[in-house]
Amino acid sequence: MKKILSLLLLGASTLLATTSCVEDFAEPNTDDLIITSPTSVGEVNTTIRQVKDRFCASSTGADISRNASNFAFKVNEDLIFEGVIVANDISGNLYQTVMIRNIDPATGEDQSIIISIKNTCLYPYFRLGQRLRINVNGLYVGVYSKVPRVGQPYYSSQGNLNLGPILLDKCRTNIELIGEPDLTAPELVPEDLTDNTGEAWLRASDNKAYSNVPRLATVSGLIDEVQGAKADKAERGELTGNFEPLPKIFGPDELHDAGFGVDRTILLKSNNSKVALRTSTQNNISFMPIPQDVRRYTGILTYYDNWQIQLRDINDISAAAE
Amino acid sequence: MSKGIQLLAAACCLATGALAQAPLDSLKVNDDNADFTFTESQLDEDNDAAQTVSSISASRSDYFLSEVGYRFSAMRFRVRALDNMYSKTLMNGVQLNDLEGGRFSYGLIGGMNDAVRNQEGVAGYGYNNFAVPGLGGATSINTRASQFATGSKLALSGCNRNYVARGMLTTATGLMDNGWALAASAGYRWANEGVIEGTFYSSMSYFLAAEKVFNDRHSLSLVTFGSPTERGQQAASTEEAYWLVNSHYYNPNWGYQNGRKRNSRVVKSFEPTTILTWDWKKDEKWKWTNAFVFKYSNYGTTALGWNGDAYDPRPDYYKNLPSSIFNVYDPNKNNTDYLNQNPFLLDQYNTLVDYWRSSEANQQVNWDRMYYVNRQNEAQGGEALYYLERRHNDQMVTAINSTFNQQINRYNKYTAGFRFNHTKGMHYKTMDDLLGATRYTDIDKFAANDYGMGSNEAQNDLNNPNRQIGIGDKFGYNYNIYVNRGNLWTQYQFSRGFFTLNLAGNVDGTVMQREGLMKNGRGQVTYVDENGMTQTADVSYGKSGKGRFLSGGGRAQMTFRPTANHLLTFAGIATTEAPLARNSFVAPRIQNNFVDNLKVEKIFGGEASYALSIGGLTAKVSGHYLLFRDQTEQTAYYNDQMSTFTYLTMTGIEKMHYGLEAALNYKITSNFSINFMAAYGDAKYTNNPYAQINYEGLRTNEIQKLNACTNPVTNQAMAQQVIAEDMRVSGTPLTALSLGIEYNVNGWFFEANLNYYDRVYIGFSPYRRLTSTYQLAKKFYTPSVDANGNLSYGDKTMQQKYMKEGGILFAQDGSIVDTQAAEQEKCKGGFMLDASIGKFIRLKKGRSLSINLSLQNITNNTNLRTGGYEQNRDDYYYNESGGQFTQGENKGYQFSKSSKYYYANAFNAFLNIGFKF
Repeated sequence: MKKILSLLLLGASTLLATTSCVEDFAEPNTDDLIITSPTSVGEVNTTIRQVKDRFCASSTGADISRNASNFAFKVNEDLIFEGVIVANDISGNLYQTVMIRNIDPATGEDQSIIISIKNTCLYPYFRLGQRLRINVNGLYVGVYSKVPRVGQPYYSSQGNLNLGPILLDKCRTNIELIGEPDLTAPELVPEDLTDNTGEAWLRASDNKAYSNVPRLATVSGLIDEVQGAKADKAERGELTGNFEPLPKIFGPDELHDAGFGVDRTILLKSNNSKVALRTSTQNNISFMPIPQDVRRYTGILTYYDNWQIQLRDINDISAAAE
Repeated sequence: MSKGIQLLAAACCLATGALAQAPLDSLKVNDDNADFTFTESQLDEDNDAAQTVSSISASRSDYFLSEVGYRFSAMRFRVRALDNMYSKTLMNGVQLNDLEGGRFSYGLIGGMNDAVRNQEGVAGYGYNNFAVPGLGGATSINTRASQFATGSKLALSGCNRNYVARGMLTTATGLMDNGWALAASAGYRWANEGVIEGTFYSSMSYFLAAEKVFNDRHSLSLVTFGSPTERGQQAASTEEAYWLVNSHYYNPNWGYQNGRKRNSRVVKSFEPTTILTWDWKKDEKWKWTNAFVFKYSNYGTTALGWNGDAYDPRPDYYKNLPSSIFNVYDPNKNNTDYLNQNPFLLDQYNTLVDYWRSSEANQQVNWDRMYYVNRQNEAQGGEALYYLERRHNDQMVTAINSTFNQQINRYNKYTAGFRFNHTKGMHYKTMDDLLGATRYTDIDKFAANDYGMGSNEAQNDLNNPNRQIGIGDKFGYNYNIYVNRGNLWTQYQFSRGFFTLNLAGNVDGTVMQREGLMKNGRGQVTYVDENGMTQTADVSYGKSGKGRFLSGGGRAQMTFRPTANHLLTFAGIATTEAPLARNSFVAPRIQNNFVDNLKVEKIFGGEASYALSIGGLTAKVSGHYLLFRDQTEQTAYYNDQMSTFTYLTMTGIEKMHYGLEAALNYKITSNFSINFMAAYGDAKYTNNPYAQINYEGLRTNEIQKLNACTNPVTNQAMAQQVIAEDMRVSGTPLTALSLGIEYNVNGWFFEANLNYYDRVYIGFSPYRRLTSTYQLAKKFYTPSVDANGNLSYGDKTMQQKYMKEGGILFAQDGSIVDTQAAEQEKCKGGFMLDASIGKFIRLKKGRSLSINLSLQNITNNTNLRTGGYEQNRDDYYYNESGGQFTQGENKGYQFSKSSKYYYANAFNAFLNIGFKF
């Protein structure tokens, strides 16, 4: 009897033990999650244009200065401005990049600037159409390859001192989201440079200045690398030593340059002016076959020694207007 | 009795330690693939941790071996630096070592200490009745129901270790009049949070045994047991992370979710095992045991996975660390002048320091962000970017053992047996949690980045392309490994007068095969056939060829006992072992191909010992030597240079283990004794093994690039090797000393040990010592000739650099003059004080109560490293031109100075109360 009781006790304890388990975790509510400042970063007291004029026009007195195309100033005062996010890294073609644009309804002033942030996958936090306010106190403003941006200095893999991304934690102190994303914001409408007027604007020397870049724009044309016999002639990458695959795609790894991007050439409709279409390797756009017909390409338009456009995602390629 | 309780505590230590370091994966992957997003790369730190040799605790004839197991367990000491795979563990006549990885899983018997207490241990050369022992010895556990003492025992324990509470109830009928004996045990171990923050423990155990003794000759025993366990794991981290959080026990695996700590690395294991044993004992001199085992192991561990562009969610990811801002180890940069010139460096460094220190949540996994990103990504048309996967390493084992013992006459006896084991290892992963998302497609996002989302290479299973994955679905990889092994063995002993001779020999046949259950897009080979047509062959789906290995060998031991007080022993061994299945395939998750030059491992060695027993003094000193040849080891890592996940297999490894062991026990009075133990040895690689590098793809030019290495003089291709000569075996102290006292009176006992440990080495990175890595890192040195015609390889600075960072010296004709492995880190030694006190109380009616309190690391030495590993990454960027790579700028973060470490537990206690009734 005693043995039987012992065994029963044993069975009961076994049952008790088996019913114990580690409970599951309830899913968290993330409706209010932000990585930016939960409180105000201050009242707006300047504009993107004013900031660009002050810190992007000349390298004279810059805190870091590699050359006339790459310099930056450290900001030691509260300079607060706003803009609407019009480009982010959703496709992976843009890296550590958010572009904000502000159109002043009163004056019509239309200005954009890059905010570079040291993190991948920024787009869930910085959605298109989201108005953003930034206080650049403690950050750096300047140009990187002639393109105005907010960032922090860093030494590149080539050993160059550049204006790089801000640490993610700086978003918590220096950036504030204003309201909810508005996909109808006028800032999200790209500037149409596909007509003759637009292409003339691109050719005008006076427009090739810091004050005009970056901008969200659309250009239209043919990709030179797939026209005629070029379409079947695979190019060999200088770095990889390998030939690109055929049919040609936008960003084959075989042709990547030191920045892990590939430049294709958009031949604009008029006068054969060109805009470089730069695509990073290893994203959806890079593997897309290059269309041989005229298409519209929308993205971040910048100027270094030529105009260059970078697409935000695959939807930035669209059929040309009839 | 005190020793019994100590052994109980030791078993507890061993079991929990083993659980913490159990081999968790079919693939050894070091956790160093920080800035890429390949899902397979998120490893567990303890994948490669070899377990403490267990057989030692069961050896009654050898004071050193019987003591060393629990005394040095806090530092994960391994006898003779041998991996657990070199020890054999049997139960009721059947061997339980896992054929794929070679090791015995302590999780198998976790929480059933009282049920498995009846053990017989034997050292590596000793004669026994159950098996040819491994180099580290063998343990035979007898769980036949008739062997249990009649009665019941309740054991309750509390501690601050992996778990905090344990209860075990064991009961046995003894052999009843009807010839039946029954025994059972159940236990539960629990911790809402273990001693390491963010870990938890929930493990029940059951053990049931029935035996029918038919008559004096025949008995049949059936035992079945298991211990379903769920536990949260700890991970190693860098010294910088430990500094930031001000603790050597920082665990980066967990994070808060809804205010509760959630661990990202949760192990679920359950290995139900059934053993049927038939004992036929003709007489005292003739015994035949036949046993059959069936085991079905379920072992899975979770890990975070993330896709293409998602940011690495690990809190101690190197880009989150302050030292990623600039090279803090470079005196040319970490100085006032340089930092004044570049004030932003210190600003950013301090920003990250402040971030780490401002909130505990910043030091841990941010679950909320992963949920948020997934939800946002789905809202924008995407799918899960972060997820929790469960990596399964299940196994089904069917084995039979037959063992025959006969005492031929007064002087001669022998044991012989055969064993056959069929093991099916099942390796796959399932989706454990989509972290707020609802969609996930089974494509490899890393390959999608390389080859395009629409490419075949991106598909994990071309038979089910773009399959949608839900919770519990298999994805990523799925393959079986079959291992069949047959074994014939025998042992013979001649003993007469002062002389004893033991001989043993065995022959093993091993066949292994992989079966791919997914047709991986990266497992397709394109080739041009004899007709000039391009063809594609699949090496991923279906069965591979069979690897067949014949191994075996012999050993001999002679003992001389000129008087009753002195014993001299000499032993030698020459044997071979089949390679482990886990190391035998070049990229086991993807393809069926075997590693090149796969050979059986050769082992030669011997030992000599002298034992003394005079009055109250017992002592033993022994020297041992082991030489291993043609070992195979595999590791996997992310290759910076080629931006690809890479498998590195070393073949032809030679190692040497040798050293001295000593133990002394002196009884000053009948109840007071002092003891001393010492293990001092070395265990190192003695050659530069060949290396084969593969990635998860089969493009010939990529494989050629990965294996490319050119002689700097002749410009001819040279063999890819790992410069490993003189690298030490890691994860165990090569020096361990102990001084102890024991005192017992009136049922009380007291014991204290002061232990000293030193020469713990960090696991070296084969990648950083590859010849191709050396070439890129400009560590190939060719001689210059001075005016007198003397060859020179540089000045003293260069020579110091050569010795520290490694390199290869070439002669003028291109032959290799010398090789030097990059310096391997040796941890600082230190002391640890342990003690235990206990009381045994006899009660009425045969009942008894035992109480034992063990205290470990009483001085709370929190700086003793038990091991760690180097990260398989570079300190440099690479420049590419025309397909050739050259070394570029130094990275800010220095991987070579950022190894990951484990520390011995801080002060901890274990209280055990046992009540027999």
